Amino acid sequence: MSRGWRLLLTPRGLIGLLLVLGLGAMALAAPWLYPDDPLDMVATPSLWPGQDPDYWLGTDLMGRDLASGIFHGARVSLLVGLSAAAVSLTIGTAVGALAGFLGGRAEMLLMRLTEVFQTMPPFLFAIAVVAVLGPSIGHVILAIGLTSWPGIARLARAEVMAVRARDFVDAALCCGASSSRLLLAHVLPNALSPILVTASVLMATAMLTEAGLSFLGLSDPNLVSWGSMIGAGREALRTHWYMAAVPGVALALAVLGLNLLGDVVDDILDPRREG
Amino acid sequence: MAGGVAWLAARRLVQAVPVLFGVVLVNFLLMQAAPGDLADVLAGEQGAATPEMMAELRARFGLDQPVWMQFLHYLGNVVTGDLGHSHRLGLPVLTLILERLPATLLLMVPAILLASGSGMLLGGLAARRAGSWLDGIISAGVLLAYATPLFWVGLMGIVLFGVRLQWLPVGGMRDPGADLSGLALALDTARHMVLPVCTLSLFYAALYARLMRASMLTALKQDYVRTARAKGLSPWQVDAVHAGRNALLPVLTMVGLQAGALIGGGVLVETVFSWPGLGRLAFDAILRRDLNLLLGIVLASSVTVVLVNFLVDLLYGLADPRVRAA
Repeated sequence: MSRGWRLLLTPRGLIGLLLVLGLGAMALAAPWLYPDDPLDMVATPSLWPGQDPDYWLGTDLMGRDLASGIFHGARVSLLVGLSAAAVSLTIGTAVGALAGFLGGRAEMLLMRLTEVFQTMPPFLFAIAVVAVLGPSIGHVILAIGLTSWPGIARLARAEVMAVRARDFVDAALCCGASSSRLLLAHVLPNALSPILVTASVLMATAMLTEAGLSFLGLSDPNLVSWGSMIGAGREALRTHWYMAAVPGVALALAVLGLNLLGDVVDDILDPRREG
Repeated sequence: MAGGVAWLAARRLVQAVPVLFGVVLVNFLLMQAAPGDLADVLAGEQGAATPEMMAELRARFGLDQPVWMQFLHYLGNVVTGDLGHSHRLGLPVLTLILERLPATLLLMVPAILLASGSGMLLGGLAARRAGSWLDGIISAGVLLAYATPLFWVGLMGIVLFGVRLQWLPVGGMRDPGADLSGLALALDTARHMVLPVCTLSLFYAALYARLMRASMLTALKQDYVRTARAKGLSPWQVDAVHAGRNALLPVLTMVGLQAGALIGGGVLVETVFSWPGLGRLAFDAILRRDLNLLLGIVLASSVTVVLVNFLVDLLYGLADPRVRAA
């Protein structure tokens, strides 16, 4: 068995894999298991979990099925997590790779830009972007992507600089490769894997940020999200705490799974760690 | 040596200028991206406006000038400390921010101290006994704290300690009914601080513990640690003084890097606990669509982040003589 499989089949790797697969399965199964709109009133309000077998996670103050909300919320979380991570990876890699490859004035300018975005508190900045542009899922994705790329840019710059200094790049240069070909065909593919490893942690952070935004009411009002469910449950916190507890547990498990998986992939790609 | 630190401080301050300029520019662009301008907002509040009135309003606020002129105007205002006017609350933005700042500091400073103190302690302990059950428990706790949303932890804390056990107040900064002063007031405020401070510091404690564990493991393998052991120093002295001080530096860097995130987390925690600070002000600004105020808070927070990083750089210089030499 290869070293990668051995690391993945540790308890840590297995739990991470199961949690992430579970999240994906919930998102895929949602329209099929719960075909009705999760925002519709379907039963008596304020049913505790287990009180009615038809609504095993209970219902909220408006009589909405919590289980249906959790399944449909998984779709929103996953969609925002994937898209925001993609936006952030694209911007971060572009800025960082150009800075590391070009050097000189361009590098200074790009890194100053990175510093500007690193200085503005990310969550507050995301709040401002969504508040200015209006609460829609596209704007939430844009806001999270726009505020989470500086770390990626720093990493990409370091990786590109390291690869740029290797002999095969000079060889390609001697063969007459153009600058753009040098960067896109020779340097970037060899610098990409440590950047892509951050994707799962980036997704986890994006999902937490999305939950925070929708908890504050900055999310698409026509979509159910775990954060907005926690926000709605807050109104009945004293008497029916499970309404806020259930979506929070779902979110924590999803984020835990992504973090564990990210750690394991990180270990697999680092040959110095024991397998 | 003091000269070295002063030189470092001056250089850092000069480097911060272009960054702050960039922050002001991004803020300005965000304001431009908002649908409608100030004249529309004011007209909307009055209910009706003629085109002549709108033109007059735009001329009065300089909104009829080219965008770059407006930016220079805005930049000039910001540099002189004028962050604009909150048209909803009828007060200058800076006044509102300064009014709420003490409450936020009362939350942030203890949270940073608690998080870095407990995080470094736990991370250090885990590294000393790497692979033991203690390391396992600490590492599992770190993973859980890492994955759980802060505001949700706060809500669950309210349910457990505020509603069920009734040990702690559920929100606010002081008891609104009682007329307290002196020591009684301080004690009452401290009781109100426990839950929000613990909630806010939980995630960062986990972050610092993780980092401290890794950096302590590296430090413990160094030659000078073996030398210190060989000359017969007590294990505690070796771990805490020799390895610990060197393991501290990456953690210190992280405290600076995370300053912005901490302010963002403060928005959620203050909202959950109705804490009358800047974060709560930002939340109210969202509800009232008070963009001037919201962007003013973003700007003020960015300046705070720059200041915190400046302080961290100075501490770095004090903790590590090599930084002064560079």
